[in-house]
Amino acid sequence: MISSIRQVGNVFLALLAVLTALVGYWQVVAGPELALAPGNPRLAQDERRVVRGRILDRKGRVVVDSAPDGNRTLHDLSLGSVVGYRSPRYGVTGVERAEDASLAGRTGVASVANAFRSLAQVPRQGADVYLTIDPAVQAIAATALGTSRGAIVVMDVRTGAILAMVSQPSLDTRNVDERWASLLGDEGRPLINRPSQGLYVPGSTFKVVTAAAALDAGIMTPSTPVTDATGETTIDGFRITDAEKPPRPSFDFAHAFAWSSNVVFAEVGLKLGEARLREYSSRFGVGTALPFDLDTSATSLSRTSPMPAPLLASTGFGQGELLLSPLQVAVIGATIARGGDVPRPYIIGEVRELGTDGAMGATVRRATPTTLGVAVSASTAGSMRALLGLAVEEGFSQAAAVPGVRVGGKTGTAQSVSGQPDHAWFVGIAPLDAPRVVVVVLREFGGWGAEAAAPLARPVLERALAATVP
Amino acid sequence: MMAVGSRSLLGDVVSQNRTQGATRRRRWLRPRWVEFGLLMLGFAPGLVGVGVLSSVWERSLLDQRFWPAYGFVIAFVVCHLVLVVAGTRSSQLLLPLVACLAGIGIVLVTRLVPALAPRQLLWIVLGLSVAMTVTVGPWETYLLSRFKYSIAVVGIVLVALTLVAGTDPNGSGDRLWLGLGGYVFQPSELLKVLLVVFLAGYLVEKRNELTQSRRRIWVLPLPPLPHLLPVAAMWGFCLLLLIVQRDLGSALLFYGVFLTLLHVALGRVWYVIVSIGLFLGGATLCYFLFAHVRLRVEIWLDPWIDPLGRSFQIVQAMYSLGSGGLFGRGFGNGYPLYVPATHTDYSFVALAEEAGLLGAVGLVLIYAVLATHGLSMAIEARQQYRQLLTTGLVAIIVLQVVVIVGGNLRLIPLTGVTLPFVSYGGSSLLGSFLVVGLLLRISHEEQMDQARRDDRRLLLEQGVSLKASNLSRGREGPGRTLGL
Repeated sequence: MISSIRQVGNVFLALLAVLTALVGYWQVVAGPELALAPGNPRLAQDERRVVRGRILDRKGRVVVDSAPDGNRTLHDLSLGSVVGYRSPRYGVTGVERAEDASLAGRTGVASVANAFRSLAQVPRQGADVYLTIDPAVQAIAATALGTSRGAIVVMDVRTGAILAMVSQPSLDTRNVDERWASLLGDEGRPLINRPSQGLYVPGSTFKVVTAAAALDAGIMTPSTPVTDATGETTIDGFRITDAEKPPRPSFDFAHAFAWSSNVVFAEVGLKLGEARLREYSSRFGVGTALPFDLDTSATSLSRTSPMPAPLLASTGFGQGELLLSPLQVAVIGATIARGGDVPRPYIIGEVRELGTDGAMGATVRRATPTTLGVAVSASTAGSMRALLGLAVEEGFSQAAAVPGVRVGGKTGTAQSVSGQPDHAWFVGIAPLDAPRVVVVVLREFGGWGAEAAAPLARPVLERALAATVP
Repeated sequence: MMAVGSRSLLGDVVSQNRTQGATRRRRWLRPRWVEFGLLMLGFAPGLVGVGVLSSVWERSLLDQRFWPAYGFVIAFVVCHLVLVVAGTRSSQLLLPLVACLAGIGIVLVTRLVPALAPRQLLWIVLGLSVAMTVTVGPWETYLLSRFKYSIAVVGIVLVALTLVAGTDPNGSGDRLWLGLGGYVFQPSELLKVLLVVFLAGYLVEKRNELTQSRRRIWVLPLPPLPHLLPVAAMWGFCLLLLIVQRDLGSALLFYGVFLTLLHVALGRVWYVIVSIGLFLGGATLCYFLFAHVRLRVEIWLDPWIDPLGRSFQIVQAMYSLGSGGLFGRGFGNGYPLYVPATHTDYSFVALAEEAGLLGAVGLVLIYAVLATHGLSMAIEARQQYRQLLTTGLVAIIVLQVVVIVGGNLRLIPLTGVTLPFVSYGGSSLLGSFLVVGLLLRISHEEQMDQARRDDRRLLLEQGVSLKASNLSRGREGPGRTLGL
């Protein structure tokens, strides 16, 4: 009987050992997958136990913070599309997504401190994200655009830092879940951050690229004589007209840029040829999604290749199949402004730990300005600045002129959907001799660029210059 | 087997004239310092749990919520004092092990459903009272073997009552409870103890008849038919539990305990194999015949077919387990309450989520120590009846752990059996503490016998004449029963 009891003991211990092995399997082998399974209600609970970091602008003004109930509160409605929403059902966008790991306290120096917090059973603390947005510039840009649909981008050309980014209509990031259907159906498309994700025909603002390519390739100089007597021409049966006939029948290339002669730029486009136009465009970033902290749409010069002559000609003056984002146009302007190298735009300036007693916390990460390559030579960029200056002084961009400062700029009036008013564009840089800022204004269906877009840029330029005094 | 048999005859002789000796030897106020020290150690997990909860909940240590946990400490200290005062010689390891488990249990109930903690304490106190009464009361365990048929009748009456007048107080759909003046009682918790008591007595008495058989079926020896009756009765009874009561857990437990006793008493492996085959056959039949059994098995095999419906509890339990990891999420910091009925069905999973693999394995280890200690008590017992009774009582606890934890871990389909001493549940705690009381009693009587033998040897050495036959009662082998 004793040997039977021993056998029973062995069986019992074996059974308990099986249980031990099994609990080890469930907790350690299958555990990680089960812990992160979408159906596991602990995921949402964990998210709620994190005190998510704030989003602030470069002056330390709070743009987004968490209410005591964990909901995110947006304090600057004009930045709604930029900071994005967080929805358990529809995901995360904008800065909330780009810096999710920092805001949730998963990465950086904060994670070490958070390891101790979780040991001490204190809620994890997310890091604060500081945008490069300047509150004064952002405010004036938002005011300038008002309620008209469109976008304004202001960039510090010396670094690529975004000083203001307005998308109108902007997104109210609160209660996105409840309003999802109406947001999706809204023809104002509030879910799109227009500056980086909106794609528009650039119109004459693209002449900056064509002109820079022509100058850089040696096809043109600013003083090369050109003629545009009638304000229209025909290429392979395709009629091309100027938005406004130049005041003189023959002039130099600089004035063709200032007066925005489509006829001349159609010829320049044809002279450049498809290969060189594509090459220069891609150097400015056209044809891909710009590298940026937020989502960007891939811009495109032309879907058709090889391009027939009429398409190549209209691409030369900014029509055809061109699709650019306001941010891309700003990068083009900034490239000219800083002497030919392409800045990488960025909007997330710093990630810092939560400060105590109003002071800012230790820096976890700081953005470093980088370039994406060189588009044109410094001399070409210098000539282009002169052309932009001439456009403001003598051309259609006069409305953007700021008293006491030399401003360079180019308007654009881009044909949109047929039967609808044109998209109104303006890209401006200032001060012309040592540019600090680039401003891009886009008004959807706004009409003529010189009237609808350029005037909006003036107060923005003024404020941006004040904000960037060295 | 022969040696054991001969010893059992001697053991019976001992039991005949033991009573006078035991009462004569009883001395009041026997210190139990090993038990006291281990008891303090056994309180540690529960009290650490209280400390952690107080910091997580940001409540004072004196908060009303923690009173049951302190009450539990007092209850066990009082029990210890009762054993000391009564001069009990029983194992000093048993009470600390149970205190450790019950401490984990009451803190777990406090953490999961604070409102139920006072009731859990009440049941622990009642259970301890039962255990103490059994341990120090003026009776002897051999009475149990003498009155085994009366005990069997009590068990049958209990089953009959449940079948006829069973109630379902918590809406589980299974009428497994008996109501009495507003309180409900689950008879199967008492029944399992009655079963062990009866079978131990019956099998010791009939083991010769059951093992000596002349008839054979093919190569298998067939025991005399009348003695097959208990096997058939158990088989029928367990299937009845499964079908009528829908109580797979109890059926498994009862049958497992039965097989354990059968194997220990008869030492015939093929009995066990045939019996397992019988049970599996019956269970398979049930699978095809009854929809509720089929459903249980289907959601056990593949819970992902309906994770938000029928297998919700299983899936939630798997999430809970998986989220624990190696070290757990910290006591009070997990979300075990996402699993429905955690405090009764899934207390092991709740512990595994918050204390991690280390805590879960630790709990299983405590049961393993309990099993090893209990079975070593059985091996060292000097009467076959005590050996069998002790083995059966240990089997109740261990197999219950295997059935419920196995169900929690999807080794077998989930059952409603509780985790002994840990889960919330009055009847279950009473049943488990009754087991502890019986184990303490047996070990006390065993030590009393041992002491008496030592006494006689001392007298013999002093020259007092004694019949030679009494000498042979000295233990074979070097293994001495320790105070533990």
